[in-house]
Amino acid sequence: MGAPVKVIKQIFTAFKGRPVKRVSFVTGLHGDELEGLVLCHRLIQALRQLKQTQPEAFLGDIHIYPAANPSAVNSATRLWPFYSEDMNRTFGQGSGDSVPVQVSRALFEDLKAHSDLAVDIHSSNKHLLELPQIRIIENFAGTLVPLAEQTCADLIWVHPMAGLFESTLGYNLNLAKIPTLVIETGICLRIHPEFGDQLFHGMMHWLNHIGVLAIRNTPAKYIKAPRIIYPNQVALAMARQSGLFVGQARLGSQVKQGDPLGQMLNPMTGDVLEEVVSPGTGLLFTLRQLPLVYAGGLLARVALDREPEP
Amino acid sequence: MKKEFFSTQTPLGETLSLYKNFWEGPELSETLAIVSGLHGDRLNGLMAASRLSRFLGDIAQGREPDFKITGNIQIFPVVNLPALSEGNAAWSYDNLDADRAFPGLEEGDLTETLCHAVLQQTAQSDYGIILQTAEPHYTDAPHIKMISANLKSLARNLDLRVTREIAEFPALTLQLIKQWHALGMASFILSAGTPGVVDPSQSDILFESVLNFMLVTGFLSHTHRKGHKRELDFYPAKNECTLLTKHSGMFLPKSKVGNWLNVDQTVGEVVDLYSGEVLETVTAREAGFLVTLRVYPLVHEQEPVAVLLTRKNKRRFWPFS
Repeated sequence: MGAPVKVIKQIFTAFKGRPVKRVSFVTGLHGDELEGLVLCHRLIQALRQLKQTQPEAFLGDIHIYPAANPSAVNSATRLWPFYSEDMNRTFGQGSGDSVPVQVSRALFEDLKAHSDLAVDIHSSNKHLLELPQIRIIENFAGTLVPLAEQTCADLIWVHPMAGLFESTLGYNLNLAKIPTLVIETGICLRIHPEFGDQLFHGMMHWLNHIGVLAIRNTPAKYIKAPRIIYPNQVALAMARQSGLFVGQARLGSQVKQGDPLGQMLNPMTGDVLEEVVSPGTGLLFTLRQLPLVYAGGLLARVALDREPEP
Repeated sequence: MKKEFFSTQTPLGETLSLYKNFWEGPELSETLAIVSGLHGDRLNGLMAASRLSRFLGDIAQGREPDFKITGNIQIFPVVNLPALSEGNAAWSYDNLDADRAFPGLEEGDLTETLCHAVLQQTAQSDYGIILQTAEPHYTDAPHIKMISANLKSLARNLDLRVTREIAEFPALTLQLIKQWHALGMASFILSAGTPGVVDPSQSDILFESVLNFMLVTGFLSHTHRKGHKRELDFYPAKNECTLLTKHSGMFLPKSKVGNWLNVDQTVGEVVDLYSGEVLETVTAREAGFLVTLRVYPLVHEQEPVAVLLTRKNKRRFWPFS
């Protein structure tokens, strides 16, 4: 109807000569995940300023794609509207010719052509709030964990491969030998400035660490070693009954096994259906925000301090 | 026999149950699973499943005395019940495409647990048939889709002439048919018509197709009627020709699905929304069977508006293949 679909990127090139590395940041594959847009804004703003004041600091190229799915971002929807297509399930060979798939293909080819490393930034769905974390499929852990350790995220979660990852951008870039970190942070449709600050400084620190930038200005309070967790170190609290979950714990807090996390309520009868307690001792890194929950729904995740006994 | 196979409560305490219809054949019979309603708007499949249930119920009750149930048959008329209740393809609570959520989870969000339950219920079956329509904004001519070309002979039992191979792509692993295929079940998708629309002629075709399959494959017997194995046109995935628009605008179809198109035959026109002028005539790049056609008019440039199944290396399977 005259409004073209355009995926726009910002490019910051090396000050001189060949770039030591080329890094790409992608966000907005899901149009309702806005934490990444803020992070990209912060990066673009800072890099533009750096380009003016300290252009020699750029030793590599940086490409930033702040809205990979512009139709969905404009509608604030997870899926590409009209097609109801999840763009992060359209990567990989043979996914068809629909407009979302064509855009995915073009994005993927552009990333492949201009990236040695990549970062794909997501928020959670509308149900769960997440601490800033890097998620790594265990097949790629050898390459990615050392990179992720420099991002100042709270967690690095190494998890098993599953079928749903096969059509994602992160998996396919890693498969194409472009090491790609997948960030999950916050929740969709909301902004958490403190997470944005943490990840912005983390990304600047990381760019410096991998030699793309030559700067030394990461505030000390943001520099931290993420906790690395493996599948058997993640304990889940699931809803045993459907109802209304009212949380009472704070995301990011240290919890002990049995500590109260919230209550499941029956809003029709006034009954308390269940006292939800922590399934283990460790860091509470996922907490349900959408109160309406069906039996079996995820309420919380805890990164265990110690691996459970076999 | 109607049997509940999944039940949970909504957050307000109401019961949400899924049911299957199940008819048992003699001991050691093979089992056929029929699933529709993976999406809440694919209604032709629902209608066909409903007719099949009524028909099998009539046989079981002796109201169709010439027929006999000779195998185990289970019908799952709806999987994504919340989406069906909303009239949407997916349920707005999670926006999860149920046919991208298999194998599902025993404990997880509702759509995932529904998928898990259906897969568990069907996993021991020998055959699987999924009834559906085209993707949103398109219509399909009645046809069979299958992953394995090895099933061509069996597909003839479905009494539909056109059979299309499903191309492998990463997200296929999240679909029910791929999960069934991995379990060794002989699995098919029957597709006809448009989402959100009940077309009795299309659901009749699906009904007759499954009925014929049950007769030929031995799930039903009849005193006179034997069912028949039909000549089959099998189209490998690589033979599909997708026609894209060059311009954005309004696409107006000038052909109908189910027709054979010759090279350069008109498929439709793209007209300018404001002036009404014809911007482009979309024609068949190759001769082929028009299996899928755009029905929603607004299109981007480079938008797929039709799929042709072409005869490059076309094979016919009749009568001794």
